Amino acid sequence: MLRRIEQLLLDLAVVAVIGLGVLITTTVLLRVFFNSGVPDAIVMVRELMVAAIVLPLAVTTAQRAHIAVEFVSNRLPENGQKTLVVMGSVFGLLALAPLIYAGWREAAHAMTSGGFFFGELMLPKWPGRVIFLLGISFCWLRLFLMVVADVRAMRRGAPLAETAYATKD
Amino acid sequence: MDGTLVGLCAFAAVILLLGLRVPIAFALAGVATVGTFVLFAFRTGTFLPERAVTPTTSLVFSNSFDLIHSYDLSMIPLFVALGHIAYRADITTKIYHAARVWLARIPGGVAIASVVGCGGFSAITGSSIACASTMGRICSPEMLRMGYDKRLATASVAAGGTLGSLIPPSVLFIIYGIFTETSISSLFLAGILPGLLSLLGFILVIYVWVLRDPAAAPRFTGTITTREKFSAALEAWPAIALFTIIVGGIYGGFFTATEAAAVCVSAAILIGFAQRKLTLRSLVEALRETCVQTTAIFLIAAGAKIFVAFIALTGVAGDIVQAVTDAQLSPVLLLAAIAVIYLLLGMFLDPIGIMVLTLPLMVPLVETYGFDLIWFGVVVIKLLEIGLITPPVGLNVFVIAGVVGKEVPIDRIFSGILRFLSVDVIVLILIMAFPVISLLIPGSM
Repeated sequence: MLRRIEQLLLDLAVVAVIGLGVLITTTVLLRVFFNSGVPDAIVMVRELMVAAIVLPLAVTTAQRAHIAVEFVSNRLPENGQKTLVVMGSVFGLLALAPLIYAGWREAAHAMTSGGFFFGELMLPKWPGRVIFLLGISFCWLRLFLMVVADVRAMRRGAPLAETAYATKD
Repeated sequence: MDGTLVGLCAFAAVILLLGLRVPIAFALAGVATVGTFVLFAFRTGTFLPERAVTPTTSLVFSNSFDLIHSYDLSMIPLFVALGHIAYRADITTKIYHAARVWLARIPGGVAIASVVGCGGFSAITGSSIACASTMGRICSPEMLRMGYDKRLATASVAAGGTLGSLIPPSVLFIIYGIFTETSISSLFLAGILPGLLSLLGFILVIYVWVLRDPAAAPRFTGTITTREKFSAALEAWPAIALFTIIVGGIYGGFFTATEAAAVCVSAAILIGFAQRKLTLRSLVEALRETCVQTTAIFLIAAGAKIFVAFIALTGVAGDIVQAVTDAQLSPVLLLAAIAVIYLLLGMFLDPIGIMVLTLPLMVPLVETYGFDLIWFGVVVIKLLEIGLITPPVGLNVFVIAGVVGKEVPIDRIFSGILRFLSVDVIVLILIMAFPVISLLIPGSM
């Protein structure tokens, strides 16, 4: 189930990247040929950026694609390496927790206050903030499940799965 | 509580956590959050944690969200997408094939074509590791099959791959531009001449290598007609067109770097579909890879942004600048010290990690000395490029080792790299001694 949601979030991010390209290219073409533009294009691009960057966080985490320095850990025995991987994930859970709390506060505030971006379309502020909260929350959940799976694998003496998708959710 | 002490402890904690394999983004964000909380909690002299929660979470949210919620930075996913789409549309490999046909008769022609191919690949994509990985899969096995010296066949591509960071577009330049608040368009233009200089240096290394040891590269004995040559050159037009859009568009003032990225992605998709090299399925795959890769980059940048804000609160950067100023280091000595620090860090850390860790301290320092930040950016990126091929953690070397497998041991690749490293050091000295090499093109805008 979680995997399906994560794939959906990734595909939404793909749509957001396409949206970025289309929106900016259209703006350039309209400016060059008609001396015109897309209203509030900058605000829309900024909101799409949040979707493009934050929504794939859970998949990135599941694929263990976060960049880490492995120079020291590669010289440790296998069990030491596994311990460091789990420790890194636990630290990630701690580091992301304040972001979720802050994201929740901001999203709730944007929705209740009805904040909007000044411009022709007066676009609301809440979508970007809600997407941010959603992306970070799913990333946290995936990281938590990976910690649980990794600890179980360590207890069994089994190697850690290369990606979270190698094991059942 | 002494801000400088908290700042220095934070740097030590980040280095320790990085050594313990904690992902860079989590290490930076986690330490910065705790550090900010401690600073705010002790603001009145006594420990009042309830007073620290709101300012800490506000700082954490605003710095990470504002970084992502950016129009200018949309060029990062777009340039990353351009690389993936161009590869799947067979645009990047055509440059190598054209160079291979044209340079076949020159001693070491395939190795030189590989380096030229890397330069061409770099002109469309923004990542050194992506460049080494893609070109390595094509060039190194081919050279090994042709009987090239194993060191030459691998080291040339590992070194050529580093051009990805210097020749525009470059993800490292974009990240440098964010943290130093310098024009990314100017940085792109500033990287062109140093990039070409490095490319020429690598070609010279291969040429001299093969001249002194002809057995290192078997001579081409076949025939290539003029028609074949022109046909190969014509097939490379999409890559040339995309590079022209990027550089010509920015230099000519037609559009910004962000707009150049979007226009190039649209053009690459159209070319790919028109030439029937790109399918809807491969386009979606390319964009999925783009999203995962971009997210990993942005998470680090967001962690770094929070860390930079925290460091600004501590005032440690100002204290270090003061200490260096008091020591009355000459500009040359300062630059030499900076180069040594970057080269040492480059032996163990990845380029993005080094940059986000050092820039909060380095930028105020070089600004105090009156150095041009565009030129300093080129110097930093060149240093980071060198770090990609220096032992023991030369990322590009490991990428190539992964491609060629057990056929070429990693120490053999590193022994071949030494000749390219020597040229890199010469180019670095030239860039440092003659800032005009970097500043000529952006200065003429």
